[in-house]
Amino acid sequence: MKWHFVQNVSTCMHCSSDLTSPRWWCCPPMRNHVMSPLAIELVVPTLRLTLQHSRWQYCTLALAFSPFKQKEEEGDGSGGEMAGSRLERFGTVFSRVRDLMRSGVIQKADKPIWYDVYEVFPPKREPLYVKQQSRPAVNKQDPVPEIFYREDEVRAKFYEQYGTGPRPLDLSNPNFVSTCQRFVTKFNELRNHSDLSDSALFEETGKALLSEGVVLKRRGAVPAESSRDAVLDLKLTDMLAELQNAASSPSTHNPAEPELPVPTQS
Amino acid sequence: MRKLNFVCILTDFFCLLKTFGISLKCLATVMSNWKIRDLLSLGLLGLRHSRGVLTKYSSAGQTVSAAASVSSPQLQPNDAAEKILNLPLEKPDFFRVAELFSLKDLFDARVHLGHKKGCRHRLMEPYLYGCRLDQDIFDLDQTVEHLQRALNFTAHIAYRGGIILFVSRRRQFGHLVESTAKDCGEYAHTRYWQGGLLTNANIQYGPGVRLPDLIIFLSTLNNVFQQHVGVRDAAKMNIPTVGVVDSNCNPCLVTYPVPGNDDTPVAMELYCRLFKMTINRAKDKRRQVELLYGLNAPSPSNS
Repeated sequence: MKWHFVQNVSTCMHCSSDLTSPRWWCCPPMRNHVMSPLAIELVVPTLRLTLQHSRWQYCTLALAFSPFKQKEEEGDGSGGEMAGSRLERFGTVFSRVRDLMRSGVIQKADKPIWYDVYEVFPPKREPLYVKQQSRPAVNKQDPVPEIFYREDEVRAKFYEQYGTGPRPLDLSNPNFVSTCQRFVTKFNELRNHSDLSDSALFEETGKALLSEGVVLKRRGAVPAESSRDAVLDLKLTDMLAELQNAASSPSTHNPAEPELPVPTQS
Repeated sequence: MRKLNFVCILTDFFCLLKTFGISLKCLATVMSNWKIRDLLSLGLLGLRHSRGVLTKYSSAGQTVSAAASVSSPQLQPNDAAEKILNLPLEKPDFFRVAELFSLKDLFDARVHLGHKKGCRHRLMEPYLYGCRLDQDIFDLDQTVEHLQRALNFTAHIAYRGGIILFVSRRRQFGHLVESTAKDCGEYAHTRYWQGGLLTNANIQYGPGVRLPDLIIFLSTLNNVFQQHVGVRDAAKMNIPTVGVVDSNCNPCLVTYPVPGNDDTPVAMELYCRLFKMTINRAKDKRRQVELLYGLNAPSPSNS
């Protein structure tokens, strides 16, 4: 914001606003406008030389002083740019503002709201910009370790043998215990009590769960013929033959009523 | 001439003081110790950086007597204002944001689930606990700490009357973010981010726009899986940011990152709820403290 002293002038030479009494006015934004001392002298042409000189000194002093130079974020019509640093790759937000304040570019009055808070509560890591490095071909040790548990061996074997299990997983319930988890807990219990080998223990756990009512079907075995759906064995040619037989023999029947072929036997 | 200079400055000064209701007595005692600039900045400190044009009335240099008619107003508006602002900074958790959530809440909201190993960003590795069957798992101990710091910072900004902008380019949660911002009394931007929104605000929105004092990113990526422009722009405009960074995000420019899941609706609802609660808490606290100090002020203003 720039101040012009416009006494004894009817209109402001810059914003042309009407002035009735001598007072300090803030003009609407003048982009890239530099108020030089000479310009001020031009604005006040009618004053006596001595007084003009003093006013000029006053003006320049006030301008240099400019306590009300407000941030551009304020809605006061100021188009002047507030001092800021747009270098996001050098230093952090805090360091830039701190240095600008230290050098006097940003006045204490213009201190951002977050400055004090940041000073007292800094983040855990300074938000410095990190250059993207091109990945070297050498694969260094993976900094993020893989997560595996002892039970994972049991789980892997379970899934290999029995598939997902009879009951589907209900993920919406945080306390849900899946078939696999029950298997694992039973396995661990048995291991603590008896001294069998792992594979034997595996069978034992299967039997124990069976006794509890959990039926585990082996995934590897071929399913029996009877389990196949009867519909799958229907042949369309046979069905067609039946239809034709049914259509030809009962000629006394109403041909208008189509009868749906019922597969009596496959 | 020099004397006249000084007198001119003084008259202006007194007129200024009149507008801020500072007594002459106070001025006399204070002037000896303080510089002019500091005094005026103190006067501004209590106000939320006065908007509107401040008109200074310059008595034409000769009428110094006009200044003497300044009435005797409140004795310590500056002290009270300063105290109000600095009060929360004395305690480590003035707004008790740590009570708002627990590690179990984060776990139940599936905040610990990240993306697959192939999507991992190099800079997110310190925040990961491990990798379970190629899926990254966040270290929730670190997340708790980061979230506490972020919420604390947000609360302080809200307490000081800062403008907070919620940004998220996830269409799935656009409405949620906007309604969260509405409930807080703050602002949200969940649509296309125009290039010069922050950097060219004066031209795009008219001169003298007030930019946000804090930007909260509920997802730091845009719809093309690149870093949201707002993160870089906020760093450019010296605006601090709080951001939920997933395992495929770049956390380096975010001032207060919160490593966690940003894809699950449960997690997003949790974040929105937490931010809404902190901001409302902070604003209520501010009203409380203002009332308290308003009651404690000894003399009423006569200006």
